[in-house]
Amino acid sequence: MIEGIYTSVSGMTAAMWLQARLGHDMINANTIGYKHMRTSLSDFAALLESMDAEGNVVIQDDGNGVAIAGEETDFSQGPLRSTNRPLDIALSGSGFLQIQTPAGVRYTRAGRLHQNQGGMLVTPEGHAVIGEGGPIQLPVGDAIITERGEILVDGVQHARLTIVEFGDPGALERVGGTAFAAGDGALLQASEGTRVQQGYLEGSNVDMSQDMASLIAIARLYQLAQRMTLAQDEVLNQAVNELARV
Amino acid sequence: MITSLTSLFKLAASGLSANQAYLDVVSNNIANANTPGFKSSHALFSEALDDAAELPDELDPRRYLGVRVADVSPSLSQGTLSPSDSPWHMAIDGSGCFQVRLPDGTLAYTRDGRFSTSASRQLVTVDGYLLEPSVTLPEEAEAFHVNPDGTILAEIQDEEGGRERIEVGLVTIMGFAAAERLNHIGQNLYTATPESGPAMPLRPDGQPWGEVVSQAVESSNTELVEAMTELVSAQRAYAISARVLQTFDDMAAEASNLKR
Repeated sequence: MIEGIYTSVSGMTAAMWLQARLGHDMINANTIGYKHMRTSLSDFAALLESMDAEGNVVIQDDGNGVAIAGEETDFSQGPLRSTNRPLDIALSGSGFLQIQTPAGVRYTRAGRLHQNQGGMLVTPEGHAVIGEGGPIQLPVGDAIITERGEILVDGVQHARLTIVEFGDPGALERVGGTAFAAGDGALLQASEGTRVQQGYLEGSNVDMSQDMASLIAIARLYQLAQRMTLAQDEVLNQAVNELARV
Repeated sequence: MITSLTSLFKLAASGLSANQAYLDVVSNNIANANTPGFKSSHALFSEALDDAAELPDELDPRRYLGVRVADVSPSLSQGTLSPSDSPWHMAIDGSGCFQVRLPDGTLAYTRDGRFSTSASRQLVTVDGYLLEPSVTLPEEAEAFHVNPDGTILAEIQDEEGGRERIEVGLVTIMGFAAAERLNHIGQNLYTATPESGPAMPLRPDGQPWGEVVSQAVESSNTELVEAMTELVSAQRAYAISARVLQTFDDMAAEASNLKR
């Protein structure tokens, strides 16, 4: 009988976890290059099923590393917004920029780039953008970036951005900083179809109306699980205090 | 359970504070739409995620940290130059800045070239800061002329009663390897940072950063329509964060009702 309480509390936990993901997604509605996480009511059931008796999620290992139950990223194109800034780039297509972080190579579509003091092309966090010959060093001058990612300064080509795509984007792992790490089996390959657009940034592709609807629905599920917990407690109360009197 | 609820509040708060910062930047751009030499700034968000391995499992709400401001940098695009009647108004066509010395001795940089002469006949900015190196104008001069390279010529009468042009000073244009990384200290002034690199009188290729246009004023580069769009977008995002926070608070209230 006592398991009933644990089950309904697991429901509250599952709802809360999904709410965190939804809130995170909605709050990133203005984040350049952000990719939407799909969260729906069916994730609630899936999450609940994957919980053990104590309310902990048992993560399944499906052979491609650890599968995060339900964290499904929507890699669709976000809207392009003109900024007229020479070192803002947006990618049209399924490609990613490659950046070098202390934790290893990461992939991002957030195309705000800067030149650091040494002329190296970096992200706002200071991570080097990787070109065909490694990190990209540019002289001072007006840079022109072509659709194919070639970078020209004063008419001379200095570097070319490495744009890659993945055979299985589902194997990409979200790592923060609007970037992804490639898991095993992501099938990295050069992206020929992606066009680089200078003077633009790609906006977040968050589906706000869907997120808002899910947020409200899951808040209701949380409420429901709370009522169930109270009801279980009521039944337990009767079992302990009233049945015993007979 | 309580830890998780606290992390939900932190998550929602990240949206509120990032959008508050965004609103501040946009409001400042709009307020300075008519400030000569002003460069509008742009805030950029980045997704915040705690990827620390010590979290017990990857769906843990503590993993999701929402958003943070990753970058606020000025847009260095050229503002429109408009003519001015004042002989000491100058504008820079190109990149680079005027160099001024603040009362505490530090060097600062500005694009606002509305200079005037002080009581001691030195060129000063609208806030009274001296150009660096300072320019003192000779009293006997009748007219002045500023060349595109920044040299200031004064017309004085020579011994035969004719007119002679002599060089009396130089307005230097300094530039930076990474000007977007300058630190904005207010009053339209910037200071160098380790990221921007030191001020340099010439570009690394030996060319000047820009030309001085005399009797002109560079207008603010704030694009009002763009700024208003950003303002609305920041307000919407703020409202959404507030809605998320409200929902989380309702959930916390439900949780506290468990104990009778």
